[in-house]
Amino acid sequence: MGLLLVAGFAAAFVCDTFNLADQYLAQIIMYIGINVILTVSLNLVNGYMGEFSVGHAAFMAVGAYAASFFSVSVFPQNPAFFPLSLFAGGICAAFLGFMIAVPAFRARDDYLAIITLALIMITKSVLENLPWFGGPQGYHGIQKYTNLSGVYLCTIASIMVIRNIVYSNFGRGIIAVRDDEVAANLVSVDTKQVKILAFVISSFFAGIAGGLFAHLIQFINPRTFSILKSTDILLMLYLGGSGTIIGSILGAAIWTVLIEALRFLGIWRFVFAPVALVMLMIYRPLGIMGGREWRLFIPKENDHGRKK
Amino acid sequence: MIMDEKNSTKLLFRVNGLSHSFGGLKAVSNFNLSVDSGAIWGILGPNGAGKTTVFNLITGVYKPDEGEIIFKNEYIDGLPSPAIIAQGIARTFQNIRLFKSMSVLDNVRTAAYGNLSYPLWSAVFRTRQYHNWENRVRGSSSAILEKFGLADRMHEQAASLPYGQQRKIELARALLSKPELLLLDEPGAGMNPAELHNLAELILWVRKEFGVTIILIEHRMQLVVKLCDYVKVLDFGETIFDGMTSGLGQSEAVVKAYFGEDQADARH
Repeated sequence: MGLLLVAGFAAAFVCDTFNLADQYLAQIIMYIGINVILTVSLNLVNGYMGEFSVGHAAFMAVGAYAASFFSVSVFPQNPAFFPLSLFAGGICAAFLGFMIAVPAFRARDDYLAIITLALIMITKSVLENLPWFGGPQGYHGIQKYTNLSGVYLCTIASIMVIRNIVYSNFGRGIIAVRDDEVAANLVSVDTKQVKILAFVISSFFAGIAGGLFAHLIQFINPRTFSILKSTDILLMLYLGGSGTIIGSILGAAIWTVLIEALRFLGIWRFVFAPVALVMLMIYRPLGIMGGREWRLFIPKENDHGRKK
Repeated sequence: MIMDEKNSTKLLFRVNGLSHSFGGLKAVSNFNLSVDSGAIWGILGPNGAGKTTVFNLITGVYKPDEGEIIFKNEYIDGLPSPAIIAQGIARTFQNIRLFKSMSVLDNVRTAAYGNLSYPLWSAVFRTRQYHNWENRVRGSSSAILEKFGLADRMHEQAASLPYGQQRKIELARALLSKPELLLLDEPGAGMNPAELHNLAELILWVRKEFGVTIILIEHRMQLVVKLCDYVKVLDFGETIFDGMTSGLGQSEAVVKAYFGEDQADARH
C-alpha cells in the first residue's frame, strides 16, 4: 500500500514537471481531490459524529481567502511558500471553526444546522463588504500554485489523518456522541471536548481545500462559497454514504465526474443530477457504500473480518 | 474526615438533603443517603418515585436544586458528568444504552476515554505512546469481557446480541474505569423470575470480583430483598423507609405504598 501511494505521488509529480497530463483532465482530477478533502472532513462531523453542519462552505471560504491573502500579500511570490499559505488558511478556518463550535454545540440537530447556515451568510456578507479582498468583485491576482502533486499530497494526508483519528480513542468518543450522547458523557467521554475537536479538525481541512481551490481557479469571489457550495458537499457525502471514508471518496469522485460528464446536457444537467440523487436516496438510502468501510481503511488491529 | 465511628467501616458516599424539581413537580425532596464501603444499597419505589432522578443528580446529568453529594470526602455535586465518573463512580441505565453501531469491544473501551494519556497528534502519527495506551486498554477491556464470558463475541456489533448479554456489556463498560461505586438503574427491568435469579447471582459476583460498592434501583421487592443489605424506599419523591432490608416488612408506610391501604389495614 505504501508503495502504491509513493507511485501515485511520483506519477503526479512527473505529470506536473513535464506537463504530461491533458489540461482539462488534470483540472478534473484536481477538483476530485479537493472535493474528496471537503467530503472526508465534513464526514467527521456529519457522518461519524452524527451532527448536521451545513457550514462547510464558510470554512472553505475562509481557507481560500486567508491562503490567497498569505500567498499574494505576505509571502514572496514563490510556489515554495505555497504550503505555508495553505497551512495558514487551514489554521484560520480551524480558528473560525473553534469560534463557532463553542456556542453552536450548546444546540443540537436542527439548531446546529441553522447556526451553521447563519455562518455561511455572515461569512459571505463579511467577505463582500471587506475592502481588502476585492469585495463582491472577488479576489484577483492569485497565482496558479495548485498542481496535481500538491492536491495528491493534501488529499492523501487528510484521508490518513481523519482515518487515524476515527480509529483511535478520539474516534470512539466521536462515534459515541453519535450513538448516545448522554451515555457517552456517563462513561467519561468529555463530549464537549470531542465535539469541538471534531469541528475544528473538520474546518481545518475545509480550509486547506479552500486554499487549494483558490490557487487552482486563481479567482475567488464570495458568491462561490454560498449555500450551494455546502449543498454540493453534503450531496457528495450522502451520495457515497456517510460514516465511511470510502463512501466520502466515492461520493466526491462520482459527483464531480457526473457533473462534468453531463456537460453536454447544458443547464439540464442540474436537473438530471439531482433526479439521479433522488433515485439513489429511494433505492439506496444509506448511499452507495451503505455504511460499509473498505477493508484497506480499517487499521489491521481493528479489522476482524466478517467471520461469523 | 467523615468516618462512621461506631463500627469503623468507611463511609464512601453521602448525600445530604438532595432536592430537585422539574418545573412545579418536586421529583426528589430532601433525599439523604450514607453508603459504607462494600455495601449493597437498594433504592426501592414505585414508578415515578424519583429513583432515576436521584441517579441523574449523583452523576451530574442534572444539577441539584439543593443538597450536597460527597464521594470519598469530596464534594461532587455540580461537577460535569465526566469529572464525576473520573472520581470513581460508574452507572448503568434502565433501558440499556449501548453504542449501537460499535462492536462489543469498542463499547467497553470507550469507557477508557477519561484515562486518556496520549495527545491527538499521537493518534494521527500512530506513535509508540498511542500504541502502548491502546494496547493496554485493549488488554484490560478484553480481560473484563473475558470475566463476563463475552470474549468470543468481542468483535460483534453490540446491538446484535441478546438482551441479557447487552446488560453484561453495559456492566463491563461501567466497570472498566475501576469504579468504587457502581450505580445500577433497574438492572432487572424486563426480566422474568429465572433471569432475575441469575442477575442477583451476577451482581453478587460483581461485588466480590471487582470490589465495588453498589447502589441499585428497583421497583420490585424480590431482587432488593435478595441482594441488598440496606434499603431506602421512595414514594413521590419522599423517603418513606430507610434502614436494614430485614426491617422492610414491618414498615407500615412501605406496605401501604406497595400493597395499598387495605393490605395495611388487614394486618392489624
